[in-house]
Formats: sequence, structure tokens, C-alpha cells
Amino acid sequence: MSKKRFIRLFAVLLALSLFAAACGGSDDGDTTSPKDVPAGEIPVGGTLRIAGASDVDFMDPASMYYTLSWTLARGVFRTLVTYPAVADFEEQNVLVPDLATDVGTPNEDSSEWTFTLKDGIKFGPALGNEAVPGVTGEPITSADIKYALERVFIPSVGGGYPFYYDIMEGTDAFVAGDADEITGIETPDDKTIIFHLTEPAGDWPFRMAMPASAPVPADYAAGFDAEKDSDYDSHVVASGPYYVAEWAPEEQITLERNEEWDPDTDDVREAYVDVVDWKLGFDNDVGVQKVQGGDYEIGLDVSPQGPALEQTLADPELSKRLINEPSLCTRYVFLNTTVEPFDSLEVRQAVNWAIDRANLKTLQGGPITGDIASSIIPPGMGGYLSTDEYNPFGTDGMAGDLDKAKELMAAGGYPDGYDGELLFVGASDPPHDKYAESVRADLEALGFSNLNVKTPAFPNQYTQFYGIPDKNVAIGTSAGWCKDYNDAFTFLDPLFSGDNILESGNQNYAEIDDPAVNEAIATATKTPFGDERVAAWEEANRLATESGAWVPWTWDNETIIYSENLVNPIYNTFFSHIDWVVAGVTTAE
Amino acid sequence: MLQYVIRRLLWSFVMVMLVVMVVFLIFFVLPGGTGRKEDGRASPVAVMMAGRNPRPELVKNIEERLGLDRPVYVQFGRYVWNALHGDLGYSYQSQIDVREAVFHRLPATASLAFGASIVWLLIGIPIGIISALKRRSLLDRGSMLFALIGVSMPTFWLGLIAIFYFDSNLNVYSVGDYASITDNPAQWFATMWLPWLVLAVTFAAFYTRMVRGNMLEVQSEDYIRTARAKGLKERSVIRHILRSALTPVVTMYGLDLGILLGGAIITERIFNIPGIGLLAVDAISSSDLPIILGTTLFAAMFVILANLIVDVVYASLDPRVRYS
Repeated sequence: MSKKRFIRLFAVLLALSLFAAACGGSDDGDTTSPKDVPAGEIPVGGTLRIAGASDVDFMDPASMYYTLSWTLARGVFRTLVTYPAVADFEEQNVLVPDLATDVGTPNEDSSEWTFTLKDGIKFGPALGNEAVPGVTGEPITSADIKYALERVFIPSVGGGYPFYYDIMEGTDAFVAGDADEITGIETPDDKTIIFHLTEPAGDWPFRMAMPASAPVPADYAAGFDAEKDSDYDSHVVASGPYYVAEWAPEEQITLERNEEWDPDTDDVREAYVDVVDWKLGFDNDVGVQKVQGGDYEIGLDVSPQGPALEQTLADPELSKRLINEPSLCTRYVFLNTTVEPFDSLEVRQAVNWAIDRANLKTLQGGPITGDIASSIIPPGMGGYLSTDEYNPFGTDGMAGDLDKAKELMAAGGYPDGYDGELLFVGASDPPHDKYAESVRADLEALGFSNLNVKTPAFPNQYTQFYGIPDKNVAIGTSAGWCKDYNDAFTFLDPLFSGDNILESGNQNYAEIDDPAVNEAIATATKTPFGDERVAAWEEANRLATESGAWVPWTWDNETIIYSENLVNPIYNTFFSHIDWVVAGVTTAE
Repeated sequence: MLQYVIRRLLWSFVMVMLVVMVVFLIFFVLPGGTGRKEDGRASPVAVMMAGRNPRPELVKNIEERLGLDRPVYVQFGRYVWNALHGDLGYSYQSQIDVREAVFHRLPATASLAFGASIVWLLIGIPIGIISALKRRSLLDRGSMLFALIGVSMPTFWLGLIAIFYFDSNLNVYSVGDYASITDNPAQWFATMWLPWLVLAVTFAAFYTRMVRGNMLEVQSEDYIRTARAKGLKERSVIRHILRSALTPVVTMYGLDLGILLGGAIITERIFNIPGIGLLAVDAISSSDLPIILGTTLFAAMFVILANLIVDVVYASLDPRVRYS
């Protein structure tokens, strides 16, 4: 998932964090002790105050794609199935029913999925506490789910990730305008919905847990969607325990209780707090101070960095209220397999041996930023292989092995290195400039003597280089990928499948089209979820890693701070944040 | 006079068009511009908006909808035409009306700019005058030290320090609780006083130095010496000095205010004041051209307008200046 990246206007603003940290030393002593909360008892009521930097990308569930938007969606929109609110990562990946009565029933080859809706589920108010006649208080039906998925393909809506849904039968005809509906979504009655897919998808329920599949009242939303540019974004109808009471873009989001939500129909969300008061626009360092000082309960998109992080870690009180967990993102250096000499497997593997991953990790900020990666799939996701059990290019301290790399260069037919010109694209924003420098040094040591190094500003390396195969970028050093949902399909299919090399907006930057890898991905995709599927992804992970097309070097962590007023903060990997629908505040009256 | 104003207004229009054109060029033509579209390729903005693994049809559709498939001069022409009709378009990101967004943000920025400017005038001018009159005294040295420190302290640094002491430590201020003056005047003031002070420090320091410098210069002019020589009361002499010494302050004040009305980016960011500057920063980070253009347009207009007002006012302040 693309996290909002701040292209900071002024480099000086980065420097100010140094000052802030230097001046923030005397915070101890004036901390008030939290109210005593008996174990297992979470206060009900009160206001959850969130300090944020940037706004949601969209409020419309079809389009929202930032992690922070999905964090909001957790309490506003319900989906057929969802992730349980538990602390254990493995248990988090076991989907539970939400609007549906079960997690879906597949046919034999997982190409047809049937869900049944619960009784008592109703739509709440629209944004701004508008009670919509014929919608608010009315039951959610299968037609509302169907319309939600159809509108992902309506141009005026602009779905955030339609490719996860285009395997529904009849999608092509709908997109082309030849059909008024997607015929692959069958709704025999108000409670039943059957998906007919053109290919098997064992992970279909995961796709039914993303916000785009949340119910949208068809008659109401269709009016907005018929415009040139849908304005449903400003009129979203709630299905979860909260509705959006106020949304002032870049300023403020307020959530209040949706009285139509029946807790008996929801086994996941406890919805302890009455109101969510999410203030946007904070400077990162100021936001951190506000949360650590107890003025806000959660920092969303603001977190201590650099010296401020060190200071937080060193403080016995503050460090207790810091979450540092895998964000299910991998950063990597890619080698374009269509550019000589990276068309050679040995050369790619040689580069994998040569890169000093430990140095890159140091440049990124050390172990707190996440573990050094030894393969592609990050921890927390099925198919992950721990460094202990699998480390094909492992060396002592992961600093690389130049001798082994040179042997492989020779085996690949380049004993003296390579002096042809190669386009090498990094990024200029610190520390990306240093990543590029580090990788360049490693490659030059390996004998690549003619690197054409470019370091454009974020995110131009993606939009103007990596994403355009015509550019023939040979080496990219500032690439990263985060999961959409906790199945390795969201990693390996867009990034390693030969079918996904696109003319523009390409994400298979290495342009790898390896029959064995393609086959392994196809096999895993078809496998129903469970241990067998995990094993299939492990195999695909091995093949993709050993193809050498990537040099994965870190599995990133997400750093989150919360205040002493927050009770029961659980980290959820789906939206990489605190699962606030089961948290309470001690400030509750 | 009227003729002069009309001529200036016409030039202002040309200036604003030039500014908009430069933004267009940066966005669409220069390498690194996110709107730059190369032959046969999709527009990067459309690709960004289309999300992950977009279908080519979707990218194309977005391009068509936003007119990104047309040549740059057509897009520019269309933008100008619409702008002349008061339509600044809609944000790529949030779909809000740009003009409404800017107007909505204007009160916060105006509060900051006018409030801070009053503070710095109140600090800067008196200190500058006293400093010049009591030259080489302890007071003068002290004020010049203040000016040196004030000029040297960057706003972003001073702002964070101020927040640290007044918010985190003393708890007499709270960042991020901005309310508009019409909704809640008390809270408006409670959230504005610190940003005013912080923003004013740098400016006050500049004004102190300028006022002092002007005063000293004027004091040594012939007519002042003559006035003193013929035994004019010191009060009256000072009044004569002030009249000459303060006119340049008007010029500077007008320009500074014009620039600040276009958004005090750093102060707004640090104190989380939802003004035009913050709007512009957020727009730049998401390549939201309509908002970038809208905020630039307003900023340019404020500067140009401030310039014009200053020049017109000047004529009445300084009898030597006449426009025809």
C-alpha cells in the first residue's frame, strides 16, 4: 500500500528535528500517572484524540488506499469478512466473518465463492450526520455489495486497486460499457451473494476484506457516480460503529457513534470510545510532542525519527508507549532482467552477493527500522521465510562477499566486469542519496565501470523511470513495496509475474518473466488458503529470491507512539496501525 | 493618477499570467515536472492517480477527464479562460473547488499575517527610533543585539522552541486548536498569540535595524542640521526625521504583508494553522496542480496588489513622489 510520502519542501525542515530533539531533553518528572485500569477492563466512552500530519487520500471506500485511510475505514466501513482484533500476527491473518455469516464457501477450485449476509446489519448516516431517506437505518443487502464492487470500475469513481477484482466474470464487458452490471456477481436474494471468477482465487476472502468491498447503497451513490466526477467521497454512508460527522480536508476528521450499528452483529469491533477527534496538519515533531505529552492518544502518520526516536527509546516511560512492528514492506534494489548483463542469472546473483546490505541498514537508521531482508516476502505474511531457515545470499553480518560475487561474474561470462553504460536510478531525498552511493560503490568494486547515475527527487524515480519499461533503467536503488493484504499474492503477482509488465505504471521493475517463477505464482494463487497455500508461497518466494532480480535488503518496521491515556493498544498488520476499535481511553467520564 | 493605476493594473495582469505560465512550465515541461508527458506515454499524474497496476483504459480515461492529453498550451489557455471566469478548477486529490478552498483558508492566513505584522511594527519601530536617538547607549547596543539574534533565528527553529516551552512545559498554549475568529474569538486569540510573536521576531528585528539606519541617515542631512541650528524644538525635529525615516517602512511593510498573505508556510506548518501556505505544501506533496496554481495565483496577486497600494500611498506620504 502506498503510504503518503512527504516530499518536503525544504530540506531545512528535516534539520529542525535535530534541534527539536536537542531541546526536548527535560520531559521527565512532569508526567502524571495514568488512571488505574484493572486488567481486562477497558473504559467505555470518551474521546479518542488522534494527532495526524496528512489527510486521508479519499473517504470513498472504493478509492481509499493509504494505510491511514484504512485505519479510519476499520471503524466506519464493514466488509463481508475482516481481520480479528487480536495481538498475535498469525491469528490476525485468519479472517473472521464480519457482514457475512462465515468466511465464504468456495467451490472445488476456488473459482466460485458464496457468502451469506447476517441479519440486523444496517446502513448508518452519511457523512455530516445526514440521515438519507431509504438508506439510513435500512438493511444492507447483497445488492449493496455488488454495487460497491461494480463502481470500482466506474471511471467517475476511480477505484484504488481494481486489478484485484477484475477476475470476476463479465468485468471486461462492464468496463467496455457493453453491460450494465458485472454478471459474475450473482445476488439470488437479499442475503446471498455469489462470485463467479474467471480463474481460481484462494485468497478471494482477503480481497473481500479490503474497503473497496464495503457496501455502498446503490440508489443513493449511483446519483453521484453518474456525474463526471463522483462526489460520493463527501457523502459516504457508514456501515461500521462510527460515521464521519465532519471532514474538513487537511484539517479535521470527526467520527461519532453510528446508532444503527448493532453490536450483536459484530464480533470484532468493541467500539469503546464515543468520539474520534482526528486533528490533521501537524508538523511531525510537534505531533510527536503532543502525543507524548498526553494531549492526543495516538500519533497517526507522525512518529519520532532520528534523534527524537533515540530519545524516546532511551526514556523508560516513553519507550513503553512505542510500538515498533513489521509494516509488511520490503525495500529492494532491482536489476532489469532485459538489460545486458542482467539478463544473465549469474550476474544478478553476483550482485546479490556483492551488495553490502548491512551498510544500507545502517544508513536507514539501524535495527530499529526493521530486520535486514534475506528474501522477498516480509515477516507477518504467509510465505515468509525467516533468515535462520533461508538466506541464499547470506554472509557474516550481511555485508556481502565480493570474492564469491566475482566468481559468479566470471561464470556468467564477465570475468573483467562490465564497461557498457548502465542507467542507474536512485533518489535524491536523504537517506536515498546515500543508498544510491552505497550500491554504486559495491557495483564498481564488482567491475561495473560505466554507471550513468541519476538521482531524481521523490517520487519521480517511480513515475519517470522505474514505471516506464522504455527507459531501460538497469539498476534502481530506491524501490519498495508494501502489502495490500496479508497474502503473498499482493507481493509476487504484481512484482514478479511476467503478465504484469505494463507500458506505463509498470511495477515489475525488473521486468522479470521467468517461466518457473510465473508457474509458482500461478500455482500458489490457485491453492486454497491454509498451510498448503503458505507452502506454495514459500516455494515461489524461494524461486523469486534466487532469480536475483531483486536485492531485497530490509523488511521495514512501522513506528507508532501513543499516550498513557490509551488502553489496550493492539497493532494490526492489515492497516499497520493501532486497532483503535478495541482500544479505550482513560479520559472517559 | 487614475491613468497610472490603470496602467499598473494592466501590468499586474501580465505579471500574474507570467507567474501562472511559469508554474505550468515547471509542472509540464521541465524535466522532473510531474505533469511532463512524453510522446506516446501516459501522463505521470494520471498514472499516479490511477493507483496500482492500472488498466491502460483507466489511465487514458483520467487523462481525458482532466484534459491532460491535450497540448500544454491548450491546457494553459483553458486554465486562463476559466480563471478569468472565476473558475479555478477542482483539486485532483480531494475534488474540492480550488477557489472555495483558498477562500476557506484565507481567514487563517490573514489572521496570522495581520496579527504578526501589528506585533512587529509595535516592537520594531519604537525600538528602532529609541535606538537611533540614544545612539551608542546601552539601550542601543541591547536593541542591536536583539536585532542580530532575531534576524539570525530561523522561524522553524524558534517555533519549535516556543512550542516546547509554552505548550509542553508551561501548558499555556496548545498547538492545533485553531478556531476562526467568527466562531470562537477567545480560542482564536489563544491559538494565534504565539505564532504572531514567533513570526514577528524576525520581522521586528529587520524593522528595528531599518528604522534605526534610516533615522541615523536622515539625522545627518542638511535640513535637519539647519532645523537644529535655527533652534527648532527637538520634538519638532524628531517629527521631521520620522517623516522621512518611516516612509521606506511603508514600502517594506506592504511587501512583507503581501508575501505573508500568500501563506506563511513554515509558521503555518509548525503551529498547524490551516492557512494557504499549508494548503500549498500539501498540494505540492501530492502533485495537485489546480491547488498549486490556485495558491500561487493568490500569492502573486497579493504581492502585486500590495505593491500597487504601497506605490499609491507613497504619493501622499512623500510630496516628492507624483504620478502622472
